[in-house]
Amino acid sequence: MTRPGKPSRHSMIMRGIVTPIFGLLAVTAIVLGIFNATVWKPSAHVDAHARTKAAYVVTDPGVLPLVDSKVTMRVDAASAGTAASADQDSQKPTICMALTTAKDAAGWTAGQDVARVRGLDDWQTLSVGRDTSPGKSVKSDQGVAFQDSDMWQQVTCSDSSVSMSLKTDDPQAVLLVAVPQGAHSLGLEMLWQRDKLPNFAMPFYFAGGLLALLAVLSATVFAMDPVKRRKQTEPEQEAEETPEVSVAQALGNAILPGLGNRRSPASGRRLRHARGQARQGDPGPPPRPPVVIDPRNRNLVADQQEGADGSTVNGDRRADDMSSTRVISSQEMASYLARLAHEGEEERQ
Amino acid sequence: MSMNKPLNGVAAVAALALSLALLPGLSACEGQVPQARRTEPQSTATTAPAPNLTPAQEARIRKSIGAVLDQANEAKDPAGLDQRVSGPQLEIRTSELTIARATGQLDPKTTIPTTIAQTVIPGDPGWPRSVFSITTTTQDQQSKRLLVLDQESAHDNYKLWGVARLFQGAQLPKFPVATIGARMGQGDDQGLKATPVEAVRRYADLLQNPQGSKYVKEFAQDDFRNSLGTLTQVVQQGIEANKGSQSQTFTPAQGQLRVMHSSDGGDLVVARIDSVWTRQAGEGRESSPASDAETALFGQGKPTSTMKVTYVNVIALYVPSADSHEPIRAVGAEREPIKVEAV
Repeated sequence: MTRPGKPSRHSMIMRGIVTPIFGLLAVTAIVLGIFNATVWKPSAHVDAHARTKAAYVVTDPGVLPLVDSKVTMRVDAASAGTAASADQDSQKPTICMALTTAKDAAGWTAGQDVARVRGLDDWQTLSVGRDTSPGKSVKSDQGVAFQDSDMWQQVTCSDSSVSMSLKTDDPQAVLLVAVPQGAHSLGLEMLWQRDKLPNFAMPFYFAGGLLALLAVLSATVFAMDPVKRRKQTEPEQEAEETPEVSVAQALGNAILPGLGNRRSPASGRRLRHARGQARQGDPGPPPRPPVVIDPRNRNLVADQQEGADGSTVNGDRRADDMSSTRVISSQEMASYLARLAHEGEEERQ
Repeated sequence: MSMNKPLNGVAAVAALALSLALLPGLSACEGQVPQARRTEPQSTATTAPAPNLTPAQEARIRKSIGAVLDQANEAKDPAGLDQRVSGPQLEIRTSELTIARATGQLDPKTTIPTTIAQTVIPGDPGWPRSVFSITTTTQDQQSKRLLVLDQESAHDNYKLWGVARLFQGAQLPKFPVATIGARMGQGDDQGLKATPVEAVRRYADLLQNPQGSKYVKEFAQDDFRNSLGTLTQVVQQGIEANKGSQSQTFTPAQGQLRVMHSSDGGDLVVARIDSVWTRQAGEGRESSPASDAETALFGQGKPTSTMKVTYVNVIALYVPSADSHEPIRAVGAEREPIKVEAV
């Protein structure tokens, strides 16, 4: 036990160490939350680049709606840095871009080397691989020109640079880029515009709030000496618990309602609480054993007379209970007994 | 004291867990880089594949085909038709334009409405691919047309492969809506009253032997056979008058059929059947063309006792599934003479 006036070791630890730790963590979380909502806020635009040399570039299924449904793809042949490509740039190759499905793109590029945009390596870099489309290649002079094909949902062609903006959620939709003149160094750019930005600040705010609450609790309730806390609550509990009806009493009530008539003003909630205590094995007030009254061992006439004299014994709970539950008058009881005796005589005869 | 120990423990664990939870958040302020999910290859057997064209693309293709046809109709010249017309329809249209040039007007049956009632777009990968489109009735209340648009390879555009004028009141089977994607069939599809190739062969046999064919009970009566029978009978009366003879042979063209699975388990088959109608006049007389179209095609040719007319027939047959109680029925047809020669 602690001396009065001096805080216990427990409260010193809680208030001196645990509370500041929680407080510090709460402040850190909230600061991080603010950072995530401001300077570290995710950008509404994801802009990823790559460079490749190919006659065909195709995005893999699912790449177009990878970040969000609004995407712009730009392919630039003019920004190549090498000398060889600079010569090619002077020719200004025509670049075409078409929105189609993966199977149609594969059909058009059958047997050809294709640069595949597989996704994102990181937020700024497109993942590009090389592949050969299965199938038999078609000579370039056979069939219709790329931009005239029926297979494209949208198609655009331009000299040296082409871009297309889309809004698609279809995972099968792909963009096919073709350079009819043949393989060329291409700068690829995909720009997604995010409508719904991920909210990284909210978890920090939530954690901050939780930690702040823990800090307050550590400084108050958790810091309180357990014994003192129990002392404060125990007398109150006892005062409330005394009038509670134990399980045994309730059982007695069910067997003989007159005995369990001592109704307490306890509410339903407290009754439930009391039952809960009984389940948990809380001793509580010792239950009174159920009282069984054997009518054969009782002199009912004497009892009746005693009742008629009005000499109930104060303090005798059983007598008290009996009188309070009596619902027939003494005269009715006497006539009943006389009738009973008369019937008994008739049976014997 | 004993109550507070677990509480302290819980608080410590909670603090540790929160601290750990915060660490990844600090390391990646843009969140994790999303990965493209690899979609499973589409199974043609169980799942409905995505259609190869959007309805807007189909409309654009028809418009493009219509422009080529209009241009040819105006010039009454088949040159350039092959950009957007192929298969039996190229021969039929060429003949129709030749006849139009001779007669001065295009037969009203050549009209193809620009609006459609339904389009059936398959989702099958690979080529050749077909799209079946059913137009509305024409402005002069002619029956609907069943258009077969065909794409031979990925580097080819869709071309009008076949047109069949649907019979009045013909019941077409149900197909998936254009946004879901239908499935194409093959000539040797099983589980039907007959494979599509066999059904066409039997129908050709029935055309050649209207009374004597052993397949007569397998087919429902249809307008095409009725009108062909009537025409043959009328010609027969004329030929009998001069003690001549006539014969018609119907031969399914090898590989010239397009098949689409319907939702109720059958196949809608559009096939080309070539026919040759030979008419021989008796008593030293000359055999002459039997219709305005034949006359136009024959032109200034010198008639002899025998006239041989080659026709291209496009037949649309519905072949129900094997467990169906329905017979095979023709739902539409087109017939056009393409060559008239005196032999």
